[in-house]
Amino acid sequence: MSDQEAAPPAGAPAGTSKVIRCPTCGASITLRALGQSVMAACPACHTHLDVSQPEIRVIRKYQETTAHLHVPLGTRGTIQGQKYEVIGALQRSEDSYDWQEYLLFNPYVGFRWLIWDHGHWNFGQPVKDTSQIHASGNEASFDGHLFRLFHRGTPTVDWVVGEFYWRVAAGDRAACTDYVDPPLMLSREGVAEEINWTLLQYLQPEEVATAFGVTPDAPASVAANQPNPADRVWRSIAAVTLACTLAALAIQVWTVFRAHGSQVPLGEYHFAQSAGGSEQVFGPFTLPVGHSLNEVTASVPLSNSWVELECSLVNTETGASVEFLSAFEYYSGVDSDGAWSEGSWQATSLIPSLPAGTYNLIVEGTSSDEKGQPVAQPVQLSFRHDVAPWRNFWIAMGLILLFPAALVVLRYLFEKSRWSESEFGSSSDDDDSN
Amino acid sequence: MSLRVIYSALCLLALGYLLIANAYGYVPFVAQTQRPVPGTANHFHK
Repeated sequence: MSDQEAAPPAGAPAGTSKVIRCPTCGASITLRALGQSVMAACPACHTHLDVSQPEIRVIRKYQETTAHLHVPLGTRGTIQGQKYEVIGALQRSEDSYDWQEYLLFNPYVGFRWLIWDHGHWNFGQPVKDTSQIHASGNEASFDGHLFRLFHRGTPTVDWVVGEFYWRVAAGDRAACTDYVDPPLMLSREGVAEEINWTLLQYLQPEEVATAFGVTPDAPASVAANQPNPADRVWRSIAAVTLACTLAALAIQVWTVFRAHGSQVPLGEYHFAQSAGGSEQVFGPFTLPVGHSLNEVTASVPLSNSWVELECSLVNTETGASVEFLSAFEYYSGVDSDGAWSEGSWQATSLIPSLPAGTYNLIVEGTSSDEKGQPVAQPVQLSFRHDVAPWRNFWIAMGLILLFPAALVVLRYLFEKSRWSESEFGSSSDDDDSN
Repeated sequence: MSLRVIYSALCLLALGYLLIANAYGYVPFVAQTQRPVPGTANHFHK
């Protein structure tokens, strides 16, 4: 892409066009940017003509190419509020990968580019003030954007049709470097001493289809500067995520401050040293807060032994009971890998939604050590009334953050796919230079 | 229905659950049984 004389010169005849006849095949060629175009390629026989002088002169006869244009020459369309006409098209390729570049013209705006890249479209405009571009290493900055190097190559022009404001012919080569900051791409093109920069913006295929009346083709892969769809979705839900996270935190803080967490003294449970379980009653004790979460903790130092406590919390007024099992075990030893241990010396049981009232805790326990004897030491029992539940908070946070977490994964996979197309993407696939 | 509306509904559901469950002292995944014991009221009352 060349920006040489890209803007219409002052006093240029706006929108002036002229029909000339191809000296090779006789086909009619409409020059739409008369006075600015210096060459034209006959759409019929692809002969390149010098149209910079009143006398049309053949530059090169070219009859091999059959151009397949995605947007026919002469098509008019509106992009970013400006109406353009397609006046020229060329195809470039590199390592068997090709793409098409359409030259757009508006007599009041000048020349622009529409790039087709296998279903993806970009709208480009030449950068006039290149002093604002700072390229160094794998990065370039321009207009407040930091671009990351995506591709370097030397593509070849395959064919040319239509008219152009600089001389271009099939076989021309240029050194190109592309930097990306989705949805933007900064493209540097150099031929000999001449360096041109073009700023490209990714266009949704539907946008181009609507503007130029073309049928959108399905994109083959992720484009270099294609916006990450996960970013768009995240922008739409970020406020909801933040608000709900804060609300969940507020509810949990309120719950923690509201909870009494009062300790109810219970005592010790002693295992019967003879056969059969031993039932012990602890209480009565009063639990003043209704609909409370309660916690019963049993603990005893164990050594290669287990403990099982069958517990019933019985309301002394209604007779309603809550039954639960508190079981734990602890084993340790030494093997070829060294010392090992598993299990715990204590277990905590939760008793949710307990009505207020006076209760007895009935405990019947069994235990056994490695010799099959009951555990000699007593089990310490403690009861905490009206404790703050945390499990609900984590469940709520899981529901709130599940979708954003999925977006993070999708975003990563998209960026990975994008940078897999680049020879500069190995250091960090998940670029976040927006 | 947009993704944002569905997600907002899910978040409100999560907040509603948190509010009600915490207010009622409820936590899920607790292994226990609750049953009334007819005729045994005050049995253990001293």
